[in-house]
Amino acid sequence: VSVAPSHAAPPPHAIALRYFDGRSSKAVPVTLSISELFAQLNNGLDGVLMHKIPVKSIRWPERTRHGARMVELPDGGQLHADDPAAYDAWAAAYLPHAESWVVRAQQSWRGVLAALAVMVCVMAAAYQWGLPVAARTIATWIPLSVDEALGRNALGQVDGSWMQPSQLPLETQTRLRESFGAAMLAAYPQGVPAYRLEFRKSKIGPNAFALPGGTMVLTDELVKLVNDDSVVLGVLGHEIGHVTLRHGMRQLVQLGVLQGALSIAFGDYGSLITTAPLLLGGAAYSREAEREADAHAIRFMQANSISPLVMVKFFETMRAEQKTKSKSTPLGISIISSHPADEERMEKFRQAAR
Amino acid sequence: MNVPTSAAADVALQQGNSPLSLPLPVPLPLAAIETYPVQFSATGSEYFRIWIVNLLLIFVTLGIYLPWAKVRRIKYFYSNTRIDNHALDFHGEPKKMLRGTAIVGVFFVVYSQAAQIAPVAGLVALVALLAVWPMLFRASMKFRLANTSWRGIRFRFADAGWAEPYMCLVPPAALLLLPGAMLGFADGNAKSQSAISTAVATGGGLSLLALVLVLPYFFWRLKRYQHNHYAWGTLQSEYRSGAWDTYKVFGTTVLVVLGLGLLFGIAAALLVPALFLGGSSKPGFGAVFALVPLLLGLLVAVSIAPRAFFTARMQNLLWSRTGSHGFRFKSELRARSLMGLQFKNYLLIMLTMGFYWPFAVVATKRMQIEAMALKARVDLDTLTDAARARENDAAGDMAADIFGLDVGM
Repeated sequence: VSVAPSHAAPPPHAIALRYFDGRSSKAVPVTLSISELFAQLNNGLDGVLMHKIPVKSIRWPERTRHGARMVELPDGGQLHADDPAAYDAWAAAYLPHAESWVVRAQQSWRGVLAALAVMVCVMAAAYQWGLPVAARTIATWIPLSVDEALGRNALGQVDGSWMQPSQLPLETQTRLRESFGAAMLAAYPQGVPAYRLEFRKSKIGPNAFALPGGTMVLTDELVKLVNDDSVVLGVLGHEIGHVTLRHGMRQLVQLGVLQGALSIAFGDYGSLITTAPLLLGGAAYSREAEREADAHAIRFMQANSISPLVMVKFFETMRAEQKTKSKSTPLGISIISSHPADEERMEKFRQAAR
Repeated sequence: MNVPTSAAADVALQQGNSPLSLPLPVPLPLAAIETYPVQFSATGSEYFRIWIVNLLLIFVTLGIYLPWAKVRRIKYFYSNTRIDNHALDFHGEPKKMLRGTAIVGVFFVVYSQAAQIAPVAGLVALVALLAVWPMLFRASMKFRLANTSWRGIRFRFADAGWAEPYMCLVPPAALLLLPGAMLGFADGNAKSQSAISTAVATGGGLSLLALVLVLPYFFWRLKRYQHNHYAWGTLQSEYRSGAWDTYKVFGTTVLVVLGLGLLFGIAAALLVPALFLGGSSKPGFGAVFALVPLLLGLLVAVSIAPRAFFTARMQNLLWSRTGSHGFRFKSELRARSLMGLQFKNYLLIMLTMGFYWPFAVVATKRMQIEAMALKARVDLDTLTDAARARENDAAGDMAADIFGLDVGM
């Protein structure tokens, strides 16, 4: 709001600033003072009143240890302070509003350390509870058809790279399908969830895995190695746990959220830094999913009167197989492995058998 | 450009005569060449404080605080960047930028997930990205410049229209992304159409090869598009460098990669057998710990050093060739210094589990910004803003951040 110029001496609480009108690059010396809820701009040379502007319509600069102070006027004009410390003192004394608590926190190490402590707690809680709950909730919003599409896509890729059509005799396949179907009926009396059981010959040895959408893949090598239908049923009870708990989709959502958070924190510093925490975080969540699926397998076996000890036998067989195939892995660092240590898992199954 | 362009003006300029006698739209009094170094006064410890508090607020508000944090960060860096003792200022309003953040966030999530759901969805999302990205890029340039001021005058991104950003961005992006999407598509139908998938794979390989050859060209076009259209007051910049200069920077970077890769290979060839075949068949802990410097060396050789080298050489080329009759920039950033700094930055970030990050950002910005100077022979006190154009599309600005295309000013 411009008012008619009048010759008036600037009030004693005025501060000398450089004024840019937003059109010319030449600074004009001015004085700024606050009266009531208006900021008053006087020419610094002759004291002529230039502008009277509501304090609230002005964007006032925030206090920082380093850097210039620039006041943004509503008409595009700017006021620059040569001496930031003098400006801060003037603003603290005369501006009608208090400094925001964000600025106060950012400008004190105590505030920053408090923020850091709160953040560590928030992040730990988010990582431990928030993210899994959020992932479960978000996963319920995503239709199952998306899981199925993901699973189809993944199976296509697996078939293209390290799987071949199964060479198991058809009788064996049918026998396993039928006994698993019966076991599913026993485990889910209220209604069997949708699933698909696939047999494949694999290039990576004995394995079984579940894909999003309900497809479970059992390798010929695993069936031959354990040579015991109740063990196969235990393994499938574990895999169907992944399916009913929608671990694939939840994992995807969790990793997506984690990746987003990391890229916000370390935005302009390349992906190198964020890869390690992402791998570690993903592995930890994956271990948690394995524990849940193991618990599911125990319930599945109990519903079918299979002793959970068959899974202990399974782990021992797998370990013996690995020993003969390859020398021991050089370092068993559990934090970067996607499955919990075998001992821990076997202990759970032993406990369940008691 | 608006400053004197005619041959007569050039002659007058060279003779030191005032071009005021010529019929020009905006007369500019010319002075002797003055050099104004760019000064940077931000510190790592202060940015650390700003970063921590921003981060906390972003997490507890589930990301809604993002634009407020961004404005605070940009304002901090701008107010600490001084040319001729006048700092830059940023005027973007967080509330308006929030909308842009949301739009781009949703778009980004959809794009990154589409290809995992189905190859066709991935292709569709890719085409949509190619259609929208140049628009976002242009909008982000306009937004960022219109909201940046120096000496009270806003900058402008004074480009001619939509065609140029599309010409610069779509061909290389298509060459880069299409093979992947097509391969995914063919993979999904591999059983029935192996011949087609082979054809697609061959096509993909060819298009990647083509990309390597034409990438510097499109990079040059993009940079020319940007640096030809920075405007401030009556001044508008021009980029006076041909594509060949950009090819040279890319070429020397490839030589750096090859050289460092060779050095690393020799070091690894000497170290690995000594560590792993030295007597015992079982690798001990010593060998595993020796792997750490080896991996670090690999990281330096293939990623940190070449990237820093490229950044330094490209910054020098870009800014030393940006200017006009009345002004130009000069950038003298030593590639070796930046490579050393980045090595130190990555090392300390890893050792401090990420807490060194804000110090690294400030140190890098300081080195890059203080290597710059503005050389002007117009009196910087006498310029006026003729257009006072305002453009406000925050979607573009936030997009630039998420897609990693923030304006390097």
